[in-house]
Amino acid sequence: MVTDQAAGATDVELTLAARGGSSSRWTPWLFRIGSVGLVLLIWELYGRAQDTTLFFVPFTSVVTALWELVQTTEFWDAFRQTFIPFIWGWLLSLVVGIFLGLLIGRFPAFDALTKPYVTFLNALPISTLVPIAVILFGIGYPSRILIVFLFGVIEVTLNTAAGVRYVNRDLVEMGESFNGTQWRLFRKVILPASVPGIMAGVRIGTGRAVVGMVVVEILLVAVGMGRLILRYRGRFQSAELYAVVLALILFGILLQVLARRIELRASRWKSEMEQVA
Amino acid sequence: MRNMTRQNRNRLLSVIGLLAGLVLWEVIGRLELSPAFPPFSAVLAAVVEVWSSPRFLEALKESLISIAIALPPSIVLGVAIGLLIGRYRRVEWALDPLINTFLSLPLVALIPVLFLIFGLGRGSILATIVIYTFFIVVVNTAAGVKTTDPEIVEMARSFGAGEAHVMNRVILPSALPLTFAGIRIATGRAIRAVIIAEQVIGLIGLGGLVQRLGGAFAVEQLYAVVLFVGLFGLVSMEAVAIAERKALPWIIAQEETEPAFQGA
Amino acid sequence: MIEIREIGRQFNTRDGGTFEALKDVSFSVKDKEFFSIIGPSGCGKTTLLKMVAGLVRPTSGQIVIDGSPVSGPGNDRAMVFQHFVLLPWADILTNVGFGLEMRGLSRRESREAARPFLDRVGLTGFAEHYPHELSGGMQQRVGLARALAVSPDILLMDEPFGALDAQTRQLMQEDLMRIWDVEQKTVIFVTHSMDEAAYLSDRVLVMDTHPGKVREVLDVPLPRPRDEAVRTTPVFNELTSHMWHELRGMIGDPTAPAPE
Ligand SMILES: Nc1ncnc2c1ncn2[C@@H]1O[C@H](COP(=O)(O)OP(=O)(O)OP(=O)(O)O)[C@@H](O)[C@H]1O
Ligand SMILES: [Mg+2]
Repeated sequence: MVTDQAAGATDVELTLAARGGSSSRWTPWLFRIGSVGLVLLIWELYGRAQDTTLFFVPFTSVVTALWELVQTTEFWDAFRQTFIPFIWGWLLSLVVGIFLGLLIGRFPAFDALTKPYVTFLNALPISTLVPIAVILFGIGYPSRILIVFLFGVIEVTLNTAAGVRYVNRDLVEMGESFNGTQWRLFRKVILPASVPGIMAGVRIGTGRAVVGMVVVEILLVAVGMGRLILRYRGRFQSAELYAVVLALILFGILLQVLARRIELRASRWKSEMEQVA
Repeated sequence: MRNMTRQNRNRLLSVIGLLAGLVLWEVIGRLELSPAFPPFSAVLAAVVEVWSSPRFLEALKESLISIAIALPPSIVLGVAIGLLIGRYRRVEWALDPLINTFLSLPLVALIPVLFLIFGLGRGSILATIVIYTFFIVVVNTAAGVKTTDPEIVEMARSFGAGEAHVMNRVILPSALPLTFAGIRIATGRAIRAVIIAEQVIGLIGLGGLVQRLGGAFAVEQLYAVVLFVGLFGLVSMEAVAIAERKALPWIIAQEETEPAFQGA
Repeated sequence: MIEIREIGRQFNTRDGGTFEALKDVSFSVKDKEFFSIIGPSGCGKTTLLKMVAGLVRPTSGQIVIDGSPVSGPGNDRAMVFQHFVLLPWADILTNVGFGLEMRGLSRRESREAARPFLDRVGLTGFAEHYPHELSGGMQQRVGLARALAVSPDILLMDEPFGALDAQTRQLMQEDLMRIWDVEQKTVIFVTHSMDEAAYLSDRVLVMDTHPGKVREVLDVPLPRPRDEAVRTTPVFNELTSHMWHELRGMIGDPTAPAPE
């Protein structure tokens, strides 16, 4: 059987890798690049085999459309209109989330008081709040900001709280032994020790805020990237529609990569410590 | 003993927090600051009315059907692929970049494309559920397989266990805790997926109901549905968690994978 | 003078019961005395030391230092922790200055004030290194320097040399002797090593276990200053073999209840 052969091969490679053998160094990349290439190829060929490019657009057409799109001022106008409320909602979610998370993680009573709301909001598809935001603020920037904020804030809060709550007990005790004020203990021990948790919250919250941004674009009467999507759909310009989607995705991935970078840097002491341990 | 009372104290505080919030909600509602904040009592009345209305039950049924059609196969396939990825390096190399791509992109953005491909109907809803749930099950299952102690595999091998046997008796049990975690997360995401997809269509299911009630400014009814969706999410995740504890009483928490773009 | 008066401590167990870690522990430590505590693992040495530090509350009895009961940590005491407990995100100099920072000095001031203490434990060149770059023995010395830096009257040391290899351990013992000769502090020193206890101490408390209690307090009639030579004197050997017999009796006791 194919699987049995594969299994045998796997074990051989495992031992090779364990011995630091370099003969298979390029094999993983062969597989990685090969599979991605294959998927793109299938995408391309399947797209070309269609009678119409109305529904399924070949990969190259999407890339071309994106390339043309980013050279129009219209695209960047739309992007700006999407981006500005995103930035505000995102920053707000970080600030509020970190603040609430610190309180929740540090004070069990506050944690208990707010638990029903945090739990509920964590389980709720935030998109259901979009109509309420619209009734509250209309369809302008305020409700867009609110939605992005709501998407991001829960994850930031939960992760920050977890970071604070699971600060090493021994560190806290050591800090207490030096008889400082509670505030100093917080600033010099608990806060720095929570940074990895906070940064994980920032990364995940950033991702969620991007989701909120996209939800705004596809659910609200559109002005930004969402309007481009609507228009291209109306004009049956599917390649352009794909391109807008691709742009949103690339933007999301870019932010994610950045957030991960920042997280790794801020939490470096932790990973280094774990490597030693 | 002291822990017990602390736990009780916290429960009490949660109840107090909830009650205080509801009172505040009522007061804000009575002040008529905004049509977006009707008093809680009005929402409660709407809950009684809406949750038993045929329109709501029909919408709920639609949403549940979509989940019932899409989630189980997505989970089964996800577990299968996850096992392969965790077990066979070449499969991992081949699929890792693809899976990672899907885990690190905002899946909602794909919805317009899905609707283009599958049309404004159930097909798109099902597709949304699948992309929201499949990859998360895959990575968690694969991570579960990776927790298998290689020495136990060697031990089983040394007793003459074949690949199928190793898979069944060694790898699968080790992978179960994280697999279950993946299923739990997928359940929550399936609900998010069905709701957002229905909201985009705006006609069918609970998501459609939310959009229509919002459009009609039927705020009390809207809150009633939102409350239901949130509680439904809570209860379903809790149900999976209970099943998890029943099935795997020995597990202690392991780090599950939850990517940033956790659905809408 | 530190007076431990009929201290008891119970912990809640997970199944809702209680576990008696310490029972009726009474002894006192004189000013400038080097006082060691030795006992089998789990007999409550750390718990006892943390009570003196004000980090753990006794469930019964009290601890009185110079006439006033301990109600929490104080500036007169500093602890050296069994597992070092350094701040992983801060460099060594900041770690040594940490106690001072907690007491209100600025980062810069406390780092400045920490330098001589870093020198004293022989880590001069490591000011800007991070804890994970140091060996266990070096980390332990950072912990010691950190405690010394706040100039406590009472130094509470919890198996500070437990993680060290035999040679480093001897060197550290000599260093500590030297430091103690100069600084003249009251030291309560927890250890597993009879040899270490005899070599360093004025008196040694031998603890019994399940529940932890005082077995006996031994005088160490060895003249000071001591050097390596005392380890071979008859008095030293008699003392350590006495402790060994006492402790062996406890550890080997098959009727002792299993630790939690
Ligand atoms: N916070 C706590 N909760 C419950 N039990 C505890 C706690 N702290 C200590 N114990 C128990 O009290 C007993 C004494 O612990 P302690 O750490 O003081 O022992 P020790 O003498 O320092 O041991 P070792 O030599 O191994 O360091 C142990 O049985 C331990 O399990
Ligand atoms: Mg101890």
